[in-house]
Amino acid sequence: MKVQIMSPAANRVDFKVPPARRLTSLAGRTIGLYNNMTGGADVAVDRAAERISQRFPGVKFQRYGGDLRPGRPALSRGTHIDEEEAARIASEVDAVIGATAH
Amino acid sequence: MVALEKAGIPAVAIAAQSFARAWQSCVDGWGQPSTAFVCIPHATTGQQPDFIRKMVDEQVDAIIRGLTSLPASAGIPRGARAGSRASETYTIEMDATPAGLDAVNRFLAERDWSDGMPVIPPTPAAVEAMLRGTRRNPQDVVMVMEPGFGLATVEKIAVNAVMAGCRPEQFSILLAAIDCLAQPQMNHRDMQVSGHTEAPLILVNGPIAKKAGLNWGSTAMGPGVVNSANTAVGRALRLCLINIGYCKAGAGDPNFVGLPSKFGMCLAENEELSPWPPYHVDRGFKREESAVTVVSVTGPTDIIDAGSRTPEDTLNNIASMMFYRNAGAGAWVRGWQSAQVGHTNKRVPYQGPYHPIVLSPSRAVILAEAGMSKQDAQAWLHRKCSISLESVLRGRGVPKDGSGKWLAHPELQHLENDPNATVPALESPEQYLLFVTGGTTHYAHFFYGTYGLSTVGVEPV
Repeated sequence: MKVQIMSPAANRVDFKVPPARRLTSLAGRTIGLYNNMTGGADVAVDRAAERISQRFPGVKFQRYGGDLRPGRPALSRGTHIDEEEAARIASEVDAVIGATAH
Repeated sequence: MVALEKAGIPAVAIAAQSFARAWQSCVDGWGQPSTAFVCIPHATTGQQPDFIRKMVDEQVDAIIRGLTSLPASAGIPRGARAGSRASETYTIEMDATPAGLDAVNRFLAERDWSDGMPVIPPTPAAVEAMLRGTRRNPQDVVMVMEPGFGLATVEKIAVNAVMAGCRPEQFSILLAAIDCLAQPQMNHRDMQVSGHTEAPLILVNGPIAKKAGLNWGSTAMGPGVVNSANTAVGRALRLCLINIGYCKAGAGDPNFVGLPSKFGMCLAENEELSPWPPYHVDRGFKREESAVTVVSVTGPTDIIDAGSRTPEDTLNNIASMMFYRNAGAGAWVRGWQSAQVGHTNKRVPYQGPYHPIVLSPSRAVILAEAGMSKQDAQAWLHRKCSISLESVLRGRGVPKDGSGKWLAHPELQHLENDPNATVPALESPEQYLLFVTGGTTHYAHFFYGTYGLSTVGVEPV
């Protein structure tokens, strides 16, 4: 017996983002450190910064966390960077290292 | 991280190994499958700083590579993409042998299109019959379900409803539940992709409960033929979250171990025996209307109470369940959470969590006979369930402006250094969601709510 069935899997919103151009070196660059306010994520990005500083002369860091919009509370957990915040960060740094605790 | 790539700068993320497939699933949905991430063996929450540093040290080379070179897979799209909204069909050979009877289930399992249990084959005829349970157009998109950004068309929801064992007379409840999830305050993205376990609890009020065959008496949330409607509706929503939202076990769904409640939860209020007005009336509906409420929760746990002799004892025993300190009690002091809406730049603040307290009719009657309305009981819980402000601040502090003034609740700042100051565990009495259902025993269930809550009307069919 042949049975015909319909696919339960949904089509997905067609949304494509090209990858950003990579840096040739981290020397002299400013790197953003983003933690989403989950436990220990700040320690993780700080350690990455410490190790990178030891390898690349002149590298600087800028720290970000939580909801970055002016006047808004840095909310407690699971905060995602939206386009507005991403544009702000991109105007201030050359790359970002992020961490989530989970 | 994808937003940063879109803004033109390279980004790399550090996450725990158990999130690897979930991460990939999320960045697929966000349209940049090659977004760099490095895995450390364990989640950082609760770990000592030196242990976190040791884990990160082993990934420094990979972090640098992520910022300086593109992976070979860059730009290659993954997974199903948008095309025609109509569902593809497949022809499966079945026969009366054990393998032949299982052919449809194996076909679906090979594609990860199941919750792992046997399903009803979603034939075109069965789906067409299901669609007669709504007036909506089969190709209408009810929501975009995350993390996969799947288009939840009415037809696609119907396919999953058939698989779950739903009947057409139950379909409008499922659609209403998905209407609820579509509301921004549900923050369904975080419900789907969190490492701790959260699941949607569907609460049904009004005449639709009887029409749909839901049980609101003994065992309603458990196994049994009498509960088949409850089971099917709850399961159908889970299948939608898997097959439409692409929240698949280990990929999209990164729960550390999961809970049985994730297979599905649907309850109807015992409006016949409850001493109080039904919950949907609290939410602004008329008693004769039908409505569905969805709240994301973890748990439940049974509140056993054979010792209370007064309404206050009864509420005290319920209140003893509320102090799950580091998971949200008092968090409102830091301000409302917000949910980002799809791929957009919009973020919606919302009040939460809502803790459902499912009371047996007998437990509710103890309170009502003592003259307590539902609102009185909620106010009592709000008043009695408080938490030390110091413990709220110790965990994560509060956001402040440049001058050090608290952003969310400046009126509480004068208590900052008072070791005896307390604040309510939840911001508002309504966040204690009292729902009366089940048999006439003296038990109750407590669910720990996580995000927001939504109630919508059920379409008349």
